[in-house]
Amino acid sequence: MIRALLLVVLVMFPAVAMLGDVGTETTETAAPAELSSEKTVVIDPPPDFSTYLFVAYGLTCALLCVFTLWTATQTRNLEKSARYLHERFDRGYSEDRTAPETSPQGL
Amino acid sequence: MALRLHCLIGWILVTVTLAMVAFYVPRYDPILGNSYLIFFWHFPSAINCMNFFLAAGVFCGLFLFFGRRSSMDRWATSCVEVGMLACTVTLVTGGVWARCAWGQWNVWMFNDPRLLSVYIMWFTYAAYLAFRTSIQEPRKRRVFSSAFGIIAMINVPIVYFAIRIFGKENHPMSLNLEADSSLPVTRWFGAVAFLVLYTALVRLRRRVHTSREELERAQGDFGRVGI
Repeated sequence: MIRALLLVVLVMFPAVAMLGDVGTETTETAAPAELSSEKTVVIDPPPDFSTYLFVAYGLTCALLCVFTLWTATQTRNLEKSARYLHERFDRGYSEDRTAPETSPQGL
Repeated sequence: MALRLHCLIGWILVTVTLAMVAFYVPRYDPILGNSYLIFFWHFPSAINCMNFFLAAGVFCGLFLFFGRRSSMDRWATSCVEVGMLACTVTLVTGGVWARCAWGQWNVWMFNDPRLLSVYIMWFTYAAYLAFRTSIQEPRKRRVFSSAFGIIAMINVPIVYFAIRIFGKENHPMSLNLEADSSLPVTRWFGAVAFLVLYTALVRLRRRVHTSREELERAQGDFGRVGI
């Protein structure tokens, strides 16, 4: 778990670093009509979307991390179950072969 | 390559991509501000989701027409699962970027051919996974889901050429990133990094399916012997 946590922290670090760099405070955005028109609109100062960036990168990191850990855990559990069943089957099979024709209870 | 090492390299490359976005590329675009930085994770996931869906279609074809080997079916399913993950990442990052650029979380219903076709692709492959789990008999499940996978693949080129086929709305066909040399470098480095990570995840998912089939076989042995 600690290794997984370390991985998450390592991946989140650049996103956090990016969040820290807040250049100019503005809420102005380019409207769709402006963006789709032919003329180039230059907004000065440029809009700042650090929070959205953090959400996008953070969500993606979390999604990838959860998927990786979930798959790794699933693989381990399934392999363990299959190994256990195989061992049980082999043990049962070898016991059947070595057992006498009648059971100890004489049934 | 060992699977664990493959996963680790993938994660390291993705972390390097993040670091490049944080420290290497210019911080602001004159029009979009710093929201354009989302592109460096939006693009790699988008291109790789289409790659993996195409690969899934190819594996489905190999299964159906060349020997019906179950390993091909496992590869196909793993590619679809990881492709779904990449497609979800694309939609999440695209939605956030749309909020920044257009002021809405997603401008899609019949408004933008690219977004609409991506949503259709996401639902088609979600249906593929649901369809797979609904069939119990393994042989039937493989055959029917392979046929489904081939049909679903038809939508992938439509997604790619949607802008050219149906006309341009909000979403551009491609972005011009020639202004600074760091932009194309980061873009393609990100694409390769995500390709490595997603390929590792495909291998990991394939292992899950192999183990599951092994478990089902072992349970079948138990049932047959009556232990």
